[in-house]
Amino acid sequence: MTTELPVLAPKDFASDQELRWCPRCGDYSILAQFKKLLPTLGIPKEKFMIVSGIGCSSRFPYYVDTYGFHSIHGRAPAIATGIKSVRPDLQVWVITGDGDGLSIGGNHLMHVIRRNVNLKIILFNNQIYGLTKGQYSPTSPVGKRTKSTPLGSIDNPLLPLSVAIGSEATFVARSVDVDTKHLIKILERAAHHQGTSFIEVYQDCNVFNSGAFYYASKKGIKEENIVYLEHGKPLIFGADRDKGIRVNEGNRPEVVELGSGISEDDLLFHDEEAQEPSLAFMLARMRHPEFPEAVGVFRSVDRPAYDIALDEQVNEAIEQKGPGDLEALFSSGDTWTVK
Amino acid sequence: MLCPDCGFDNIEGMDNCEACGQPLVTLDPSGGELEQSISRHSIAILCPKAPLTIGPLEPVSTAIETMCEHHVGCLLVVDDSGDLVGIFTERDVLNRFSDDLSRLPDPVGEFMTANPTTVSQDDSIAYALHAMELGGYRHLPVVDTDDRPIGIISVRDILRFLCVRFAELRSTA
Repeated sequence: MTTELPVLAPKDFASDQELRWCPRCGDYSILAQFKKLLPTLGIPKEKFMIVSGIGCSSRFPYYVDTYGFHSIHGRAPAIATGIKSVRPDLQVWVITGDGDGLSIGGNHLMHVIRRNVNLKIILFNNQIYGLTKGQYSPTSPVGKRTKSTPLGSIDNPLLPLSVAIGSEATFVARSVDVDTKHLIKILERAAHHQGTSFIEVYQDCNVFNSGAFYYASKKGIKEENIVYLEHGKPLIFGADRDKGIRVNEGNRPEVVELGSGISEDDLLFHDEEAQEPSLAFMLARMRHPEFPEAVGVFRSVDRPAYDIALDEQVNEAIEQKGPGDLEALFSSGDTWTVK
Repeated sequence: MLCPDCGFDNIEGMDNCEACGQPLVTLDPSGGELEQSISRHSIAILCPKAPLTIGPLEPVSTAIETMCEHHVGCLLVVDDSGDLVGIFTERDVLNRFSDDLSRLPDPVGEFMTANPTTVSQDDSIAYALHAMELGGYRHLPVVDTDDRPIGIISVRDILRFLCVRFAELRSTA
């Protein structure tokens, strides 16, 4: 006898909690796409787990009707690693922000990525600390004036994708909060990846850092400022699709105009499956206004996931030595009686 | 976020009061309708006035005359191609000319604030307030997608908006 699973819809994932984000915050769009995605994955509702740290984005677990954990500042990757290690049947999402993920929890983020734990990490990058009302974050650009940098930031910002690729991430992607069709595709790709999926989402904080990603989100402007990555296809952009990215003789990317002797065949072709991460790294470092910024999947490669390897290791040990006995372990080896 | 029980000022987003442990989740952290309206509405609703402009080489005396004539507190300084290069305000006059009037014939460009903070019509009123508070400004130039000035808003425009919204909320309460 088989049991048919109920067909779920986005509204089934809407929680009864009142949303506490500012009106017009970019977080709403990400939440909406997330709730659209979950029912399409064919996973029972009780098998989803969302873990977050601290920050505006980290209120996410309240707003999705799944299991969730609004955890400790920056520590969501560590907690999610524990959850996934003992409950490999769960699909675990980590929600973090540029402050939570790259400053307070930078160390945890690096290690969860290098371990390739089977987690889906969404980093909401708004280049500001919004919850605490507008201090600069690790991704704020040089010169940014905020409440904590009244004369302008002198810190060199981190590029989230550089951190992820440098940590040997197996899945790296970027999207934009209001580019809803693209965002949900990226989330879907991340959901199906085996290993750590890392997605940076450009997210507008319309109160404390309005328009930070205007160039990449405004229709009529973004076409000239972003290039969509498609595996196996040349990097073409522009409202008239008349520009492209070519690698020059110095192995550096350059913007070229198509026509007048330059064809699509001369352009850089994207290979998200390249084992060597140099291409992904180069694309991730293309910054506006010198270059169009790339969105899409930068890298998607196979490598054994930590939780699967751990599970196999434990099973192998049980097979060889039998099931563990905690009481016996406590009293084994060198023991002392304290008098 | 003030705790209704003990009055402790918690950071936004806290679920329980740090001081007394009372739950805060039922509080509206956005401060109700009035506060929400400043992030929901964009600057366009303030109907920014067309900016008065002046060239950077014009004398300060001309700038002061223009401001007095039109009863405005600032002028936007634009170059020959119409690009915004600075802002000249009544604060500049008070702070720099109150005890030395000999430089009134000097060009505005020497006394303006160069590369002023700007906003777009799509930005929220909350963001404009934040920018004003951050920089200590009373005026913000509104620019288009090419960074050309298309208007100006003052803190008075925002005050007027808040008064109207407050009255509307009182009347519907």
